[in-house]
Amino acid sequence: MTEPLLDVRDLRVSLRRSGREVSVVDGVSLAIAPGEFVGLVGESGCGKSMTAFGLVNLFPTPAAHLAGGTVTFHGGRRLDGLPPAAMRRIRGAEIGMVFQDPNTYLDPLLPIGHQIAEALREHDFAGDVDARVLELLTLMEIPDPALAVRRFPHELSGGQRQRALIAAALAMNPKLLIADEPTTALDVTIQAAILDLLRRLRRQLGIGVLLITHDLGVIAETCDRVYVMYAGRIVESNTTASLFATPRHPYSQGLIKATLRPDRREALFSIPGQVPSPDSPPAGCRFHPRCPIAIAKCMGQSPELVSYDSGSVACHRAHDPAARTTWSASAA
Amino acid sequence: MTGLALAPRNTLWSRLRRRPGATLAMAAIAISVLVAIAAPLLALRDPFSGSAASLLPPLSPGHPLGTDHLGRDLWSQLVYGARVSLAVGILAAASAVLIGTAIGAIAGYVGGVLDNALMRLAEFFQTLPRFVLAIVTIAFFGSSVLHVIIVIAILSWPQTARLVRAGVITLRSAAFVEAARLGGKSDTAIVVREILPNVIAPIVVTGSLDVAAAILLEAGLGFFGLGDPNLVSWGGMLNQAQQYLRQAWWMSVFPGLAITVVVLAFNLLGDALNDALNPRLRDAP
Amino acid sequence: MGPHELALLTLRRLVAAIPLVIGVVVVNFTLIQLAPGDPTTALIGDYPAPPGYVEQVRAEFGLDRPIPEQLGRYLWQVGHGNLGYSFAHRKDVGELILERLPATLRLMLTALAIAIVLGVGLGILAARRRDSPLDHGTRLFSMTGYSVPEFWLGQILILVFALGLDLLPSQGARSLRAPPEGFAAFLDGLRYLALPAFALSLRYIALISRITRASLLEVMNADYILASRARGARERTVLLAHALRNAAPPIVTAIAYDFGFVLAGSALIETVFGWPGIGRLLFESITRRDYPVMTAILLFVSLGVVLANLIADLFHAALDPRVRRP
Repeated sequence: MTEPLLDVRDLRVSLRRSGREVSVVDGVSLAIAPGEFVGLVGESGCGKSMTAFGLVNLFPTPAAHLAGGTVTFHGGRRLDGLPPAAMRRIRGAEIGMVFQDPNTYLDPLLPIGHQIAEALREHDFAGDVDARVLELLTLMEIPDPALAVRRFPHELSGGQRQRALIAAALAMNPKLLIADEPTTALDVTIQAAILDLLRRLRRQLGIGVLLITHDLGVIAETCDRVYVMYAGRIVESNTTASLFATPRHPYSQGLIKATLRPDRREALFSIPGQVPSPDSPPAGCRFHPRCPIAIAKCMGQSPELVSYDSGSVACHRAHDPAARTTWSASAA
Repeated sequence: MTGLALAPRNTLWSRLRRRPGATLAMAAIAISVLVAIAAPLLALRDPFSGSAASLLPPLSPGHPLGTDHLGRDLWSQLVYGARVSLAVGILAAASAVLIGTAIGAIAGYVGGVLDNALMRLAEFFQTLPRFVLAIVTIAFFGSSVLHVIIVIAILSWPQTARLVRAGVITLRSAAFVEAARLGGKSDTAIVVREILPNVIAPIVVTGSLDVAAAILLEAGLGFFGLGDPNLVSWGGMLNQAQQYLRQAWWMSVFPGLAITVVVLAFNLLGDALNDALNPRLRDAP
Repeated sequence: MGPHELALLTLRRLVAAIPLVIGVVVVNFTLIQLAPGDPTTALIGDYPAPPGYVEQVRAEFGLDRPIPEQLGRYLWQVGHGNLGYSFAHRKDVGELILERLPATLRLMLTALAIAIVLGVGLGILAARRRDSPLDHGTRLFSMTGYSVPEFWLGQILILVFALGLDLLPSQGARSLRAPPEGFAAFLDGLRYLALPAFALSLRYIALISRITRASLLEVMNADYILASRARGARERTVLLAHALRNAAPPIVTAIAYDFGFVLAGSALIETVFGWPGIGRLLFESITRRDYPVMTAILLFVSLGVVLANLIADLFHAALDPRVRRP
């Protein structure tokens, strides 16, 4: 493997909640090669968004903060512990971010051209800012770019707003794009168009993408590799093809089974139970309360992430043949 | 229902007591109310009776806060002034809250054209310059405590009306209200017994702030010489102090401090109540 | 927003304000009607007026006519600028008020400017250092500033800075020996303006800092703030380009809403500092029972509030593209 674009080891993020430290990301390790399209999947509340925010040390609430781990970016630079001013120069310039709801992530009072140009101006873009904004809008396939620059967010459709946000994220030609649920708030047809756009941009610009989603269907359509996250930890990782073909972790198996596929006509499946609250995670394997094949060991001892073939899995029963079809057994 | 209503009140009380500002405010209010009630006992002499000892400075024998230009005892005036300020403040605010609650409840419950008309009226009243209107009205109708209370109440109801209306509209179709309606209760009973108890919190907050505003307004009227000529008021005392600033600073300092402390107490209490009643604000990051 | 769009919007808001203005005149009319005694006294004031003038007023306002017609006539007269005649000042009331208006505007606008600069500044500082001693101090200051009667504050400022330290003048708007114009006259005016303007502004510093803090804290949680930071924007840009702009509407509304109180406060402050404006005129007309001056001032102040709200509306429209839409 070539030198990774991003190498994250044992990342930890905590929330300060009424005087107590609550761990929401508990030792996540992941890597992204240059130009690679990597997915991070898990139910909402599993800590995947906090992982993304942790990478650039920018959180939506002042209660959240990095609590450990290393983040090594392109050229061997450590991002964790970087002073705020230096971190700012990386955000938006070398790492772009796109978020879930294009309606709320655009400032309603400013034309979109202004907001895209902000990314350029704040990083002292050397070229012609206006020309670059037009170029970006064209790249995003927004019709009539010259007119769109002066449009306000409320004058655009949801899909166009998301394109504008992606344009702002890519303005400085970053090497990595972090996309946090970029299609969740959009209509199905527009979702497909945005995913197409992301795929094309990856090809065209050669950027690495970290796509965060709760939807394995989205992963299947776009990603080269996947990390499956549960309750603040990575439970399995593999190439997308291998993960879908032979999921090792019961949680991955459940997620895949729960993904609706047009060619299958089964009743919609969902994993029983809920994601545990980060306030009081279960001991041992964090998935054991919901796992149909849990054994005594699962309750007492936390499984390590173990490599095999192209992937790795954190499950005490990963090598047990009975654990390959966890959910069909229980459904019967 | 009673048991349920008591529980949040208890936590409200404990939440309030944890705020040093609220405790201080409640203490200040309690003391000033006691002073107002016990004015005849606390006053050293008749606040109206003058003497030859005019413009005595504070700490003079027999006059702890000094005397005014007519030789009247400042402490005694201050103590009797508390009666006017608090009576006007509390009665005017209470009347405003009553008017506002009635109008807001009717607007919210009946809805439609009436609601629209009443809310337009409330909006209009909120645009009117309250103080100048109060001055002109009192100048026309003559100064008396009753007039002052009525004018302040008439000019202060819209805020409560808006809050109550909003509360009534959200609760109008709540399950327990529907149940009461099916149970055959009259509209009046539903509004008074079922809905209003649940919108009491914001009413209490505005009520407290209304008292503060009313006391300030009354003081302003008094300063403009529009206070009740038969009573001592803090605003009236400041009116007279104006002409003697050069000779007698104490005539200005003490009544002004009294107004500030009482108004601040009611504002702090309203603020603390608001925080205590809105958990969302407390926990916001 | 183009000038054409702005003109159209202004026109629309002006038309929408007409009912408010009529309502204000109706309030005046109601007061005159309800006041004890003959309405002519309320219209003329408690002064011996020549019988001819009394008859003229009776005819102009149709005082022997039914109430609805009287209201119509009153609206007509006021609409045509007939605010009556002040026998106390031997002057047309409209003229009298216009004469006093500049002094009041100078005091009020200075106070408002001080309040906006200091209030917004304090609000930003408090919001940025949330829960710091500075924040708590600002909250306490704001609460106190909101509770102090401004006329008393005026007296205290006179006691300290004029009588005690002898630094600034306490009465009037300019000194007798002041040069009529030029920089020296300006400086002289400033010395006289300092105390009343500050006394008048304190309440609004308190109000504005409180609202700025609350509004900023709310806006700083918005997603577009996070997005701007994720774009690598400097904190200064985040604050100036996004946070303050989005936090402004509630602040502007509060300023406009309390404009009536600034005007009222100005009446009290002018009385304390002997400032030759409308507020002092109001004070004088109370003792002189000069009723037409009082109702005319009420009308002017009400119009001032309506105008302030109108300006706030236009400011919103200029700031927020969503409000601009017809």
